[in-house]
Amino acid sequence: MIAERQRRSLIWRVIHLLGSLKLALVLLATIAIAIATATFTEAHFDAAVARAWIYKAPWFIAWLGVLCINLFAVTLTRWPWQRKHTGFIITHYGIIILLIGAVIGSKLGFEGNVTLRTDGQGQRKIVTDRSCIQIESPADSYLYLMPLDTRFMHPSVASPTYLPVPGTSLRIAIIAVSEHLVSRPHLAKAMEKGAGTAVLLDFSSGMMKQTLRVGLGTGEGSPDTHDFFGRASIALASDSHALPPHDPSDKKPWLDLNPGTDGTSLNYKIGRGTSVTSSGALREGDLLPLGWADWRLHVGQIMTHATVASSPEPSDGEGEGVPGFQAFLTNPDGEKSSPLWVASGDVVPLVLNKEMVRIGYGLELRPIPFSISLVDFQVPRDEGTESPSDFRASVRFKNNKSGEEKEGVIRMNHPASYPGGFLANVTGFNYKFSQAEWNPRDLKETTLQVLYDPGWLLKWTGSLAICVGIATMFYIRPRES
Amino acid sequence: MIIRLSTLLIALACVISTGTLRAQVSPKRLETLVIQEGGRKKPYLVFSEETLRSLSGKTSLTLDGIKQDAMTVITGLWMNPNDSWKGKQLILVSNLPLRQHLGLDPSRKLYSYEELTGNPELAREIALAAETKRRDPKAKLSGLPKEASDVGLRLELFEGLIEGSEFRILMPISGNDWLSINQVDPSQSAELVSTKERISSSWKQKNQQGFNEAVTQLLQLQEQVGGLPPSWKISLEVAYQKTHPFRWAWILYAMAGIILLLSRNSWEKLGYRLAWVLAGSGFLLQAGGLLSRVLIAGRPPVTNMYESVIWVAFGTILFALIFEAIYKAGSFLLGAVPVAVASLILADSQPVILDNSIHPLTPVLRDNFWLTTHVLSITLSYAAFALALGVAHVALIQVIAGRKPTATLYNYLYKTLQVGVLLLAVGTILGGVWANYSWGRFWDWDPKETWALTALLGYLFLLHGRISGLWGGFGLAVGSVIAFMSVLMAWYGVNFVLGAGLHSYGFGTGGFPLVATFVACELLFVAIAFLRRNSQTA
Repeated sequence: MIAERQRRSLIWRVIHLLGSLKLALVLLATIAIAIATATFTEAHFDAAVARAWIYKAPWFIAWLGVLCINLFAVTLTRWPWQRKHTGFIITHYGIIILLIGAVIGSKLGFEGNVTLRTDGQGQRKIVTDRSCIQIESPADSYLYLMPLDTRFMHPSVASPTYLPVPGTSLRIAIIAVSEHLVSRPHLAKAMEKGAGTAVLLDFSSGMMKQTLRVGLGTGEGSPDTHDFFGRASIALASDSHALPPHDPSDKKPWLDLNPGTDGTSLNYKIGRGTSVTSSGALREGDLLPLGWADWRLHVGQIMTHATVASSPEPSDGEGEGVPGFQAFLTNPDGEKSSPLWVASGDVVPLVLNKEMVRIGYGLELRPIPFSISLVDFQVPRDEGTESPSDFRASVRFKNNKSGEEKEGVIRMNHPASYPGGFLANVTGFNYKFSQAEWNPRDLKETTLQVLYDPGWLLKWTGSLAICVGIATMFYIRPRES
Repeated sequence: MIIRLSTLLIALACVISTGTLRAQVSPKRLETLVIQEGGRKKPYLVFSEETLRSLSGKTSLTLDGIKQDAMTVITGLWMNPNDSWKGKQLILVSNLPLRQHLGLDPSRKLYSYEELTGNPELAREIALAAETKRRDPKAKLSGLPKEASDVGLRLELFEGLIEGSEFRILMPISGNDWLSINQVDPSQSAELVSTKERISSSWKQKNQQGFNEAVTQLLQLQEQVGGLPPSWKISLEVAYQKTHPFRWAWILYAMAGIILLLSRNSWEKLGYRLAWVLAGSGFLLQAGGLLSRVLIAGRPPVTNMYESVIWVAFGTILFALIFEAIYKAGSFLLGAVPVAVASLILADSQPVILDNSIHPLTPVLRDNFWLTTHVLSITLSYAAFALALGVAHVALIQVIAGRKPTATLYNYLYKTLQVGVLLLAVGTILGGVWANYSWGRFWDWDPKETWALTALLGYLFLLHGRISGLWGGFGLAVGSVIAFMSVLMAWYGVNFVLGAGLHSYGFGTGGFPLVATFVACELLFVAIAFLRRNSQTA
C-alpha cells in the first residue's frame, strides 16, 4: 500500500522522504556529535562559547527543526494508524511537544538571578544572563538597550565595531574588548582646595608572583591608608595630622609614609608593633625591600596638588576583573572623542564637541510585576563541621499594583513561586525562585535563580509522553486480531 | 653479629625480668565507641580506617617492623602521643612531581612528620595554596599547590591526632560540635579524665585486661552523656566494615562465571544450576551490603563514584538474573559476570580514586525522592548497557572464535538494549524535572545532561539502524561496545575528565590511564572481531 500511494502522490513521496529512517539516523548522529563536541568546548573554553557556537546557534536550532519535521513525517508514514502504533506515535509526538515547549520557554520565558540581602531593599528587577549596552541619547535622554556581548567581538583600531546613537548622527566606535578589566589607581592633578600630596606605590613579590598598585593621597576623597591583604597596614600622613601611634598589642607589620617638604620625596618607617625596623627617605623610582616575605616597594609617582582616581584598564592577570570594551564617539565629520574603557557595571560619559552620550554596559535587567525581599536567611550545618546541610531563605513578595503581600520559603530542592498556586505551577506562568548561590563570608546575602517558563506544561506533557511511549512500544503488545 | 646477639639477649632478659612476653594490646574493645567526624557520628573502627587512609592512603601500616591495623595505629596516636610518632613514616605524599619538587626520597610514598615540617619548600607551597584559597574561597587548586595543600591537610590531621582533638566523643551541653576529652573541663568530669588515663596507662603497659575494663567504662560514660545514634546502627556499621560483602560477592560471581564457562555436555545442566546458586548468593550478599549502606546513611546508595560502581555491578547481575529467569539462556549471566567482577574489584582496590567512606551529602542531593527516581534509573540504565556490553562480548568472542552467534543471542542483546534505553530516557527526563526544582531550569546543556543525552542518542541510533536493516546482529553487538564508551563518558568522563558543570559534587581525579586503557582494548577487540568476520564472509 505504501509503495502504491508513493507512486500515485507526490505529497506522499515527500512525506516518506522526510520521515525516512535514513534521515533520522543522520539527525541522531549529527546531533549527538555536535553536543558531545560542545562539552569539550565548554571544558576548554567557556560555557558561553559552547552555547554560542552550538547549543544556541541558529544552525543547531534549525537542525532541531528538521528533527521535528522528521518525527512528524514518520508518524504520517504509518497512516492509517493501528493499535500497535500507539507507543510509537506517543513517543515521537512527545519529543515534538517537548521541543515546542523548549522553544516557547526560550522565546517567551526567561532565566535570571537576583541577589537579596536581609538588610536590603526589595528587588523589582531580575538580572538576566544576557549582556547589553545601554545608550543614553542626547537627543531625547531616553535609554536605549541593545544586546552586546564582548566575548564574541573582535574589534580593533583598524576595524572598529560601530553602534549608532539613536536620534543623532553620532556613532560609538568600539576598538578593543577585554574580559579582565580591573580598576587601577592613577594620580590626577586637582586644583580644588581639598587636594593634597598623592603617591602611587607599586608592590611586587616574585615568590607570590603578584603585583599590586596602591594609590594614597592626603587630600579629601583620596584614601590615606591601605590594608595589605590583611597582613600589614600602610598609611600616609598629611601635613595637618600626624599618624596615630601603633597599638603595641598588634603584631602586624606596618609601613608609615610621610610626604617630604620638598614635594618630591617621601619619608618612610617600617615596623612591627611599636618597634621601628628601618626608616629613611624615598624618591620616585626608588626600590625598597620591605622585609615582608619578598615583597618590594617601588615608588611610582609622587605628586602635589593631586588626588587618587581610578579607571578600568585591562589586566594581564587571568581570571580577575570584569568584561568590558574601549570605545570613543565619532561624528560624520570624522571627529573623535578620546577613547575610554567601559567596564561591566559602569556608566561612562563620552563627550564630543560638548555633546555627551552616556553609555553603560552589563547584564540586562528585567522588571518583574512584584518585588521580592529577603526576610531571613539561614544556613544549617552538618554536625561538627562548617559544611552547609541546607539553605533556608524566607522571602516576602509584594504585588506592585495591589500591594498584596505573600510569604515564601526557599530551600534547596524546594523553590518558592509567585503568584504560585496549582494552575500557575502547572502551566509555568509563574516566577519560580530557587536557591542558587550564597556568600560564606556574608550570611545576610543570598542569590536566587529565577525562572519564568510558559513552556513548562508542554515540556512536562512531552516528557511524560516520551517515557510512557517508549514503555508501551517495548513492553505492551496488542493482541493479534 | 655479636652485637645483634647481645641485644637479643638483653631483650630476652628484660622479658624474663617482667615475667611474660606481652604483645601489643588489642584495641578491639574500642571499635563501637562513637566518634563525630566529617559531619556524622561513626564507630571508632570506621573512624580509624578512614583516618589512617586519609593520613597514609592505607588501612594498615608496618611500623617498627610490625604490621599494625588501623585501630592499633590510631589508638597508639591517641593513647600514647609521644614525640617518637613525629619520626615515623606514616604521612602520604602520593604525587611524584611533588616529591621531586620537594627533594624528598622519590622511592618512598610515606614520610615522617619531622621530614615534612622540616621541608621549607613544602611550607612555601602550602602557604601559597592557602593564600589562593584565602583570596578566593571558591578557587579550585590544581597541580603542585593542590597536592601540597593535601599534604598540609594530612599534617594538620596528624597534629589533631597527637593532640587528641580529633577524637571527639562527647556530646556538648549546647551546640552540635562534639568535644574531645581535652576540651572537657577536668573539674567537671574527673571520672572521664581518669578513665582516659587508665586506658592510656594500660595501653602503654600492655595490660589487656585493664585496657578492656577502662574502655568499657568509657563506653558507659559516653552513653551517660548521651546523644548517641541507636546502637543497632553502630553495630551494623561495624559489621559492614568488617565483612566486606562486596568482596565476597565478586568472588561468588567469579566462581559462577568459571563454572558456567567450564561445564559442558552432560555437566551443562548441573553447571548452570550451580552458577545460578553462586550468582544468586553473591547477589544477596551484595544486596545486603547495599542495604546496610542505605540503613547507615539513610539514603539510596548512589551518591558518589564508589557507590555508583557497586550499584551498576549490582544492576548488571540483577538484569542478568531476571533475563535468565525468563529465557534460561546462560549468556546473560556469562555476559554480566565479567562486568560485575571487574567493577567490584575496581571499587575494592582503588580506595584513593573511589572513596568508600560514607559522607554527608551536598544540600542539593538531600532529597531521597529525586535521588531514588533520577539517579537510580540513570545508573540502572548504565547497568543494562553494561550487561549489553557483556552479552555483545559473548557474541563477538564467538565471532572471533570462528563461530556464528545465533539469532537468539542477538535478540537477547536487543532486549537488553531496550531496557537501557527506556531507563536512560526516563532517568534523563527525571533529571530535567529535578533540575527544574533544584536549579530552577529544566535543561541547560550542563555537561552531565548533555552526555546523558549523547549516550541516549547513540543507543537510539543503534536501535534505529537495526530496525531499518542497515546493520544486523553483528552490527548491534559492535555498536553495543562502542556506544558504551558514551556511557563511560557520561558516567566517569564528565566528573573526572571534563570536570565542568553543575554536577560538581561528583567530581574527582584519577583513574584516567585505567579507563583509557579499557577504551583502547575495547576498540581493539571490536576491530579484531571486524577483521575476523570479514575474513569469514570473504
